[in-house]
Amino acid sequence: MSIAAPSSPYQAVINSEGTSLRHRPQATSSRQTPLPSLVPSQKPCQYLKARGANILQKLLAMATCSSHSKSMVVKMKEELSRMLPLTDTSTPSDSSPSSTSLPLSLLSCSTCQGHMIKPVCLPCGHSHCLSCTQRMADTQKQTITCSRCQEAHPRVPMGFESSRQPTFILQTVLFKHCPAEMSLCCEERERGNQFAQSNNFETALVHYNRALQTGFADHRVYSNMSRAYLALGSTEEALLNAEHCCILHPYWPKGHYRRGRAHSEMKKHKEATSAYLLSLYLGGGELQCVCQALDNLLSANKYSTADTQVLMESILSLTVQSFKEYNRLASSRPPVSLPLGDNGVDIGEFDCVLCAGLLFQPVTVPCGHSFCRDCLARLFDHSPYCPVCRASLGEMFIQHTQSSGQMCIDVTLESIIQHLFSTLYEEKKSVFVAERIRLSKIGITEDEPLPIFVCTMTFPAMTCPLHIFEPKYRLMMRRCIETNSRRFGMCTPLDRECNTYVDYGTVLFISSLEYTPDGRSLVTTVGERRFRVIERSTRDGYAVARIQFLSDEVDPDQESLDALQVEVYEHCNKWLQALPLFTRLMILQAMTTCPPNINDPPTSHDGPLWVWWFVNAMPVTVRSKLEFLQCTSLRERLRLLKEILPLPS
Amino acid sequence: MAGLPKRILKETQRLLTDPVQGINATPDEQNARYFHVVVAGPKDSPFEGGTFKLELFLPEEYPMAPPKVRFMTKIYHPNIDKLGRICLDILKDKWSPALQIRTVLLSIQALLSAPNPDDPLANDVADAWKTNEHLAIQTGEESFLYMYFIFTSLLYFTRFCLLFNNFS
Repeated sequence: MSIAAPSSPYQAVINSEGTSLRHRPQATSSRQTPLPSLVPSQKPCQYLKARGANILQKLLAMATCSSHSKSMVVKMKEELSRMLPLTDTSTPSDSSPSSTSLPLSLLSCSTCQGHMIKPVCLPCGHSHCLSCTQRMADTQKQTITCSRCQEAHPRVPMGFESSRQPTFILQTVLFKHCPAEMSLCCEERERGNQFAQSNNFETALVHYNRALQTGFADHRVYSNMSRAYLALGSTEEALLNAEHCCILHPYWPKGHYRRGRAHSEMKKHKEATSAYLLSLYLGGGELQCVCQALDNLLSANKYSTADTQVLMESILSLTVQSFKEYNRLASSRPPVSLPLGDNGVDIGEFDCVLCAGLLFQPVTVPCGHSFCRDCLARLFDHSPYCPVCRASLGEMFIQHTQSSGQMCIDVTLESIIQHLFSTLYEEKKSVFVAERIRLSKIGITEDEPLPIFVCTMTFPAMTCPLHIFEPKYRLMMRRCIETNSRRFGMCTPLDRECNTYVDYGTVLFISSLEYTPDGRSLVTTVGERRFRVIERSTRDGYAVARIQFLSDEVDPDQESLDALQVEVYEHCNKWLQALPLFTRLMILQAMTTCPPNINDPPTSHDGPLWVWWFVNAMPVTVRSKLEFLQCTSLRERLRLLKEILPLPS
Repeated sequence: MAGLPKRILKETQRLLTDPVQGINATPDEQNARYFHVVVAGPKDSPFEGGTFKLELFLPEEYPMAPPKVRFMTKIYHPNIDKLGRICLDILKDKWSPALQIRTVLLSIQALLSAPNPDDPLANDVADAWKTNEHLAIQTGEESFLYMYFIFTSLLYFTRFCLLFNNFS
């Protein structure tokens, strides 16, 4: 049973459109549990890819670059964005939906841009290979920075492997449908990488060659081979492999970076600059490499100021030309797809455990299980543990309570489901959108069943603070906020167990809502119109009712009514003034709205507001207050008010 | 009643088309959230040969909240009381929304073969069970007598249950 909390200082700010809540954390008692400190997202220019390389060394290299070359690089990069607009980076647009094959590009890792090996989904919704995620981890700050959105996620301190598991569904798809040569190629590459890490490049190359012999063309193998050859000093081979890599995947910055490394080893500074520049432009983030290569180029041949302009243009044209050439070669290759067999995949594999339907807006939790976003939010009303493996989902739970249920969708999984079951997913989407539109009208029209909060009695224009902790009411509040209707009905219970409720109530508007770290919420509401319940039912555990709005009847004798109003208003004020000082102060403190003036404009449906203020304040049972709520004649309400409030003797 | 969630429809369908061995669950004609369940006593247990009636109700908040299950047939079991209420962790705090009607009923069937006297609901039964089992381990004529006592009492109860079933 939720109870009305006393007036609280919790404030949330509604933005100008009134569409969403921006929570202002305040030093209140509800925030006693400290939140884990999230590292603020770094600026992209400060962000250095710490792929095992020494950051300090890179910073030193950055400092040695002349500011002249740096400004040149920035200028060239700007020029490049004009000459080479990037329309498409990884996913080809021609992936027409089909159920018999799955384009490999849908399974590509955001970091290495090859198909994912042990795909891991970060809380931002982007998936990477497990090994790529490990490389993105910053052990000092205990964070993992997503290479796609640059968002830093806290690492769970107990260790990486145990805290984040590969996405189960994707693992299953890869395991079932991965062709033998593809998995063999990956295995050999992994083995090669292990040798390369211990600087045993000869053995690594043997494994890389085996990987190529499988017949599956993986750009990552060529890139790794290029690195190994470079380490062994055979620059020609390194360049050849790097170029192969670029042909296979021209949009991958790392490939161009490898090409740049090979070129600069061969002292071809112009080509190196061009390759590095392309890598930088595609999002590689190796600014210092470009600057250094440019510096080398400038120091090798003395250029005058006029010449640098010419030089810049020639570098640019070289870059554009090479990129177009790689693209041309790449486009001649057919896109690779995973064959799924004649029957396609089993749709049951893509079912949400909680609703037993096809996953809609899938969210993948750190233990690798995926659920619909709405289902997961409903689960969090009950417990913060994974239903499948009972792992703690604290990380997602914090995201859920901080952003009012908007956890990030697993982008990869969603696009795969969209590809495989396009009609079903579109159908679900349109149903979802239509429902949202329908529910957003709750409390404004009588057509939609109104959710009913069975708790206390409220009146028009009166504020009512609430403390929400029951799962069913958490769900109700979240739906109110998400659908942006922000309205629900409040009725008094008829029995102690709150199983049934009275026939009359008030629509409440949520003016502010603040979540506590454990998922409860503190809500401030304001009364709107009164209604009568016509038909009762339930939805997902909470009560809903078809309602009819109540409106005051038009009184035939307006003049005598006005006179009565003045008379009763004075009567009520006398009553208030006659109360003992302490009682009066208590009433004024408890009632969050000020005592109204008789001259306040009356509402069209519920009459003058001061009447409701006195009804709310007067010391009588809820049952007698109900008479006011259901009364549609102002004259009758005034008469009752005068009757009930005792005159000072 | 608002439309039945897809999950309940799917589960009901699967229970009817692909029933678990020894378990029969049929939804009530009036209320699709109420199930009439008949569980056969598991093999190699004191309840073998008996059939036990249960009722299962899916609350509004299912699957977030566990189903409510109760034995309708009287049963002599340390974790089931006279009113048929069951003491089983997955029906209480260990409930997970990934569990289903089918898995719950399987767990109950397993509870019949492996009672848990350390977490009893019917204290008298659990005490009897514990002392008897303890004595049963002892060698000698005395323990044989105890074993005889357990088996005859259980046989008596199963027969009683069968009779009860036939009449009801």
